[in-house]
Amino acid sequence: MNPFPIVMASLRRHWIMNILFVLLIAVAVAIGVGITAQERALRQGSAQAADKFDILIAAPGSHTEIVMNTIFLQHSAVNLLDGQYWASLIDDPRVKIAAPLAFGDSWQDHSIVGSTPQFVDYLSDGLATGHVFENIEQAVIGAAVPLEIGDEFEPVHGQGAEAELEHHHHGVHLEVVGKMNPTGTPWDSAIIVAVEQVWDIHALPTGHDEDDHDHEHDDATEHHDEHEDHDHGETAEHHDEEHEHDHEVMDHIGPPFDADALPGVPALVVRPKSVAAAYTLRSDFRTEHSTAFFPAEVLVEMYRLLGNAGSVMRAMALGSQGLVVAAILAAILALMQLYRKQFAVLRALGAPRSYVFGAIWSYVSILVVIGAIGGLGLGWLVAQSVSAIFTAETGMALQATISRSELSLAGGFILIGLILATVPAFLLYRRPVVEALRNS
Amino acid sequence: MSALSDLSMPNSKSSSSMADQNAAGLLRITDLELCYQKNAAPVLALPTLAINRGEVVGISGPSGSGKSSLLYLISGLLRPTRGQINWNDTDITKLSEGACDRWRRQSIGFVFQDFHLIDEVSPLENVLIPASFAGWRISADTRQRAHDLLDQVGVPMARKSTSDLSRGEQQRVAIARALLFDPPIILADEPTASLDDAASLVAADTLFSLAGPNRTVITVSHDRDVIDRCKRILKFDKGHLVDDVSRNPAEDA
Ligand SMILES: Nc1ncnc2c1ncn2[C@@H]1O[C@H](COP(=O)(O)OP(=O)(O)OP(=O)(O)O)[C@@H](O)[C@H]1O
Ligand SMILES: [Mg+2]
Repeated sequence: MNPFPIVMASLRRHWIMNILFVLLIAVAVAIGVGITAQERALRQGSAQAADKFDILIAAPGSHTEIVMNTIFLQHSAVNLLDGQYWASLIDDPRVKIAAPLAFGDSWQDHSIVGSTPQFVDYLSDGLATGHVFENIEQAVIGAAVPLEIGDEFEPVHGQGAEAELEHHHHGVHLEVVGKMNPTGTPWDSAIIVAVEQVWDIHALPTGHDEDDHDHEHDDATEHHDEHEDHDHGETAEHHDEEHEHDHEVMDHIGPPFDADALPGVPALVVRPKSVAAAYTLRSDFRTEHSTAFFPAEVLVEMYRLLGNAGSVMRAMALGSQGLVVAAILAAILALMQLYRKQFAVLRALGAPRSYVFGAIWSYVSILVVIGAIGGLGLGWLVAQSVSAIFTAETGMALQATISRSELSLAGGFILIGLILATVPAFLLYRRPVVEALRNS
Repeated sequence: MSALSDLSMPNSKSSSSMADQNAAGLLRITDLELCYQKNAAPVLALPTLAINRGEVVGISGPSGSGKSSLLYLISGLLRPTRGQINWNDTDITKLSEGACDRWRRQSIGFVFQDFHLIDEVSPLENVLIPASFAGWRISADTRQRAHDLLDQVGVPMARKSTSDLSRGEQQRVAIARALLFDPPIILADEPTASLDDAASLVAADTLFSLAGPNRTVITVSHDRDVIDRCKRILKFDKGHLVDDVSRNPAEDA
């Protein structure tokens, strides 16, 4: 028994309707596939982004906000962590790397973050080209920053639209001296400078115990606390003086610092020497004036929320799939009325009932299988483009892939489709032959 | 055109004794009754009827007299309320459905008023459709036979699209399809009713050319020209056989 000649004829006979069926199934499957693939891509992308940030220490506040500010470089105003904390971590035997993350400035759409050469090296696993910054006039750029080594740029205070609007230049020019390897994280579009540069540009002391660095700076909103400790003098000729000043300090960045002269920073990132060290560090730095946590904890919580949103969307996708299945089943049942006569004739010519069953079941199943496979591809394409847009927006590399869960989703749809295909097959299988033959 | 009956099926299914050529063609009906509703008057009541191998039988009668019902009964598509239908000592009313399907596939070629070809496949594929009921693959011999059959019925364009054929050609393709397994019995229900006069004539020629000592042709028709060419005419009215004439059509003409 080979019902395929009949199956192929049926596929060709109502081909517009059949294409419509396939498209409907494909879209229904694509929605589900797209949602799961996208959700997983977000998880993987964010986990990768957080990979190098073992422990974050900051002034007490929302952990999510701190993660957004540091790992994802989505800046908002935060309280500063007292400078002493960094000083105490530098010599802590449990610590491999302790680096400040000082943000607030930008160049075009790229965040400028003040940190240390070690952290840049760790983040990028060695630079792609050039070298780390050696003084406060140098900068290292992420792989996606459209500058080249030797280029100069002028940092602007603030971020994005705000920075554009206010157009508050610091009047400082920095030189690109190194470029990081691509990391697939938002840091690919960041510019990293010595933390001393950020302090200096905002007229704060740089922790190096060198005379009076107390420039007035009326716009550094995040730094208000610190400002109060300094006298507000000499507003005039701020820029010129700064230039002079740079040349004085550029020969020395990094430790040793004078702990008392260290300004506050928005956050510290710590790479511990061991897992045990990570836990003791975390508890030691959970104080009245500081909070310490593993970003992974925050991500887990974010995944939970993402998962909830995903569940809702998946439920909606499932609902639409159910509707599509019901609509197609109804349409096929209606279509079967047109096929009654044909199958009655085949039975008169000697076809067994099972031939009728096999032909209709195969016909519906082929539509389901083609639709589901098409939906898998369509879902992948949609997730790819959403990921690409997301990557362009955030710099976080998202790689939407088709994996087990998408395959099982499409597989489940196919399975249900194959089972439901038995309904019209069975209905026509049961149909009395003679009745259909008579109704010419 | 009598060459058609010489086209015997290669490796024909001899496992089925019912399809055995030697015994084919003898139909004996006893005490047959068909009622669609319980306690209703029978749509067809036939105390006895016998048809011999090689006969060419025409069935006529007004609409609703039970002609089609009789064809469905003797082909096993319809089960009688009562009675026996013996083809070669096999009572087909006692066969299981699967056995009946197999018997019909090998023993009966059905021709319909409206051809019922599949437009989406070629005439050749149409003729080969019954071959897909039994096996997965269609042998080269069967394919060749389908070709030959199309030649014999005068539709040699094996690759032309079926819907492009004239109605007369379509009915001849349907006749070729009925002949694929070289069945000993041909049943036709109003084979010319959907054709114009010229096409009717050709279709009737083709149909009657199938008759021979080993092939029985039974056709229901309103068409006088068709009925007049039958050697035996059964007239039905209100479910009863009211006339059974055997004659020599040549003499009649
Ligand atoms: N399913 C059914 N239920 C009840 N009566 C039926 C059913 N099918 C057919 N009949 C009746 O059986 C009778 C015989 O029908 P049949 O089709 O055999 O007649 P026919 O001689 O072939 O007529 P025609 O020349 O119009 O084709 C008709 O009166 C018809 O109404
Ligand atoms: Mg009829």
